[in-house]
Amino acid sequence: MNELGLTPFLVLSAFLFACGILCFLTKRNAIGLLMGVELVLNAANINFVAFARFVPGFQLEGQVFAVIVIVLAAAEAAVALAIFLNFYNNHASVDVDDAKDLKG
Amino acid sequence: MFDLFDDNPGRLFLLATLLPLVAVVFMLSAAVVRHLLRPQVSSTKWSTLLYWFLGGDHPLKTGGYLTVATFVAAAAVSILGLVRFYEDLEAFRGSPAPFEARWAERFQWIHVGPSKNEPPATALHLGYRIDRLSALMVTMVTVVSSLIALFSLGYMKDESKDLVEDHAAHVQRRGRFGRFFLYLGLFVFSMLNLLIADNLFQVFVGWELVGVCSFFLIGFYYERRSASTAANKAFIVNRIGDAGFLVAIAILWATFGTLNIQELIEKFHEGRPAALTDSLWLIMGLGLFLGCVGKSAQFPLHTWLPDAMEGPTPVSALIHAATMVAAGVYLVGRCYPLFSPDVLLVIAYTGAITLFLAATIATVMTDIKRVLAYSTVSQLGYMMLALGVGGWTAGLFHLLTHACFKALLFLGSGSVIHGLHHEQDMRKMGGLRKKMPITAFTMLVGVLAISGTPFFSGWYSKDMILADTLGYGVVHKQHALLYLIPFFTAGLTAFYMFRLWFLTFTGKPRDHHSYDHAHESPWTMTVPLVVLAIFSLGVGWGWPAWNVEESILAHQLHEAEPSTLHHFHSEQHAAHVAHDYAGWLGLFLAASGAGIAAMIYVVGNPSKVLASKNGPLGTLFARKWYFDELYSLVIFRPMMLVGACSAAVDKRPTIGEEPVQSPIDVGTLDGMLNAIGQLMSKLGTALRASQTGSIRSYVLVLILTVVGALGMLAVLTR
Amino acid sequence: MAEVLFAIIAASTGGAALGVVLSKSVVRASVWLLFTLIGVSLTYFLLGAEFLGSAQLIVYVGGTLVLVVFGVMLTSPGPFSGFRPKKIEWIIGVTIAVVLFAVLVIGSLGIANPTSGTQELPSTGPIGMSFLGVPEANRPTGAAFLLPFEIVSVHLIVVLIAAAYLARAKRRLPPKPGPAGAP
Repeated sequence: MNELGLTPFLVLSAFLFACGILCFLTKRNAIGLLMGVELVLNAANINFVAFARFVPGFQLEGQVFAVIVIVLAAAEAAVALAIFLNFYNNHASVDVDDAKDLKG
Repeated sequence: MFDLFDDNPGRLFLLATLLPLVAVVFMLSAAVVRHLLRPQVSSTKWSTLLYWFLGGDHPLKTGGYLTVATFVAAAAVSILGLVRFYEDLEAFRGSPAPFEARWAERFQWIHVGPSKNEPPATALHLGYRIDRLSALMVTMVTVVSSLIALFSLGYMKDESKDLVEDHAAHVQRRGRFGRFFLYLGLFVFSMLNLLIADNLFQVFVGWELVGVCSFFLIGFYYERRSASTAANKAFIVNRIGDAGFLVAIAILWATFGTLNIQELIEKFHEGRPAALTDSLWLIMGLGLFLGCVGKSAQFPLHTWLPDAMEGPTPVSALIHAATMVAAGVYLVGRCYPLFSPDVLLVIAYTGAITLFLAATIATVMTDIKRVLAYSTVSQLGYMMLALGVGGWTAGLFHLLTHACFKALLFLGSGSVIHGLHHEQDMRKMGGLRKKMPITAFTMLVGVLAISGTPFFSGWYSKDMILADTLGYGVVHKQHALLYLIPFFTAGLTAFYMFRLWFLTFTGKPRDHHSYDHAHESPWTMTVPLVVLAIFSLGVGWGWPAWNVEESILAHQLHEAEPSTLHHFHSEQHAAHVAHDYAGWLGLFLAASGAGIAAMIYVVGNPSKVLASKNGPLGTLFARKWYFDELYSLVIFRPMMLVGACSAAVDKRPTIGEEPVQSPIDVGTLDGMLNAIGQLMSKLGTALRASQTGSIRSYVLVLILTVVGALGMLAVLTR
Repeated sequence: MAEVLFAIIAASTGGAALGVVLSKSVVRASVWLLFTLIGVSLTYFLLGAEFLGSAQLIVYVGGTLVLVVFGVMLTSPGPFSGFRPKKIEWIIGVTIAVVLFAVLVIGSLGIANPTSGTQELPSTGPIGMSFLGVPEANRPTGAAFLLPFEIVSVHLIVVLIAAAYLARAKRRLPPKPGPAGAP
């Protein structure tokens, strides 16, 4: 572990983040959107833990934060799925472009 | 209960003031209750009883009886008050302060702000103050109005029918008997309120109220276009005067912090108070006088009074002869120390011009009420003239006597009109002496009084006025007009009054149809005539009766004179010296006027004279010196032009059916406001495009924002 | 040694992430997501956060991903359907993602690069103790993360109830057939 620095982990995290954003933007399936969100959250988590490992004084906080993020992400995924299911029941489609009821 | 009046006997006059209001309120509430109960008359027992108790379907004359009763009660109370007043004068001779406390009270009505006593004042008061002048005036007003109300019971009998045919307006309408007495009661209340008021604000309130009642009563036959126009004219012309009054009130308020008349008079004891500049004093005086000019129909605001004859005759008698128009003279008399010598000169000249103008017009009028209206204007001019030249006693004495004989003359003419079934043109009268003897005789008393026949009340007051003007003219030779005009007009007055009497009551009847149907009026109308005739004869008497200055009433007024009259000391002295000379000259002129009238209208052929066309001077008089035309040209036309221009700016040109927006519109206010509205609308539509409702576009914007923020952060922290 | 391990794990994680993005079928995407999450968990283990790695496996892979797969199953319109976004949207998306990646990387490269030499991350015990607020050797006062712990717990309850309510059985419309191929 001696020569492995912080930066590679940050780059990994950035890559995952970018992938997540791309997934977010281009998927038309609502579940696809959810997957993008999961990717983004994981990327942020890696960031936290990397900093916890390499910056003294942040060790406990980083991990705790990551744990909390995991929990919240799970909760959010549950709710999002519930909403999607509801939407599917009402519109018989998971195409995100069909959710135009709020058009101004 | 009667100990209410023991400590403050002034409350007797307050009671006299409030009694007519009681009648008014009762009649109004009775009408409201009747109106509310009418739908359920047949259903519940107590509502039916109440409905019929309050008048039922045909209230008939109940309102009239109630009003007459309250007026008589008010008159009795005020006479009682007058008696107590004179008792107290004897009892408290030498100690003014407790006397004041018994006859004046006030309370603070509206109080604004923390400071209590610094000018400008922050409190408005309501109160009354009884002194010699107001006690006499209140008594006169209540007695005369009760007589006139009694007269109206007979005169307005037609209105108590369910269906009244109005020939002049060609309509059939419901009778309005009760309403007449409602307005009459409201009027008397406001007039009395004005008289007993102790501050200018309360005077103003009463002032406006009597103006409003005058409006209601002149426009009583409102289906007639002439009547409603006349009512408008009266109110509007009065308003012009009230503007001046308000300016005066504002100046007094701002300078002295009080509107209490007594306090203001005390400040003016030594001439101009230091707080008031010369120009402000002048403006204040002129403003106050302008109010009186409007109310008392002086030149140039005299045009409303002759038109006010559209109202029923008792209204003309009460409001436009005895009381409301007297309010202006009363105010001048009351606030006498507040006027600067320049303003007093203006008052004198205004009075002189008015009396001459009106008298000339009266000589050619053919409507019996119009002659009396112009006569009223002329006599009011006499009063103003007297006040202006320092004859305070004379002016107010004439006010009191004029009330009696002018009311008598108007009621007499009302009796004639009633007897001839609403015929007012003197060209159709003649020889009525045999058919209506009581009316003829009482009117003769009135005519003699107004002409200044010795031993009649008018002689005492007119004599004093003529003497005062002569005295003034002797001392100030440059103002000779101020005595030449009244003397000449005294002859004119006698002339046109006797002309009236001769044309109406002597000679051969000119319209046999009316003559045949003429009859004497019922007792409700003749009794007031007789009573007023007695007053017109005796109200000025003193002992010895042939000495004008020994008149009892004149003495009382002389005691009440304000202290600033000492400026007119030399004029008064000259008047005293010239008294006999003035008296004989006046008598001679009056006799010659009457003689000329007799020659033309008794000895000569009245029909021929009436039928002949007017010469140029006659046309001038008959067209009322073209005042109405002048006002129309100078005031109305420009106003209407301005109004039409303003309306034109706002008009939309229409082509066919739709209003088309012209280029002028776009650039004008309309266009600009519309443009703002449309801009907002377009902005809204543009912003609406961002609300696509599609999640992915929202997400796109979100991520763009995040990227942008991160980029900014990265750049800024470098 | 560590770098090699890291390279393998990072590459697989990144590849799997790309797979999530690029796969057309949502079922395949969820499988790629599974691999990504396992890769992230291995990263945690590499960093020395054992508790976190285990939590990631249990919660994410075992919980959230199952949820996602269930969702896919319940709402799937057909075996081979899939929506293709328009080309222009791809280009915009890729541009933004590349820009974002560049910004983040430049930012990361700009900060210091401390290597290890620091001590080990706290293990499960101290983490748990800190959640409960029990005093420890390096935390004499004891207060640490009790409040967030409580909040998260309550939050979970609320979410449970909400999700259960939202997804309750209701009347269902018949499923629409999705568009075949690109629009």
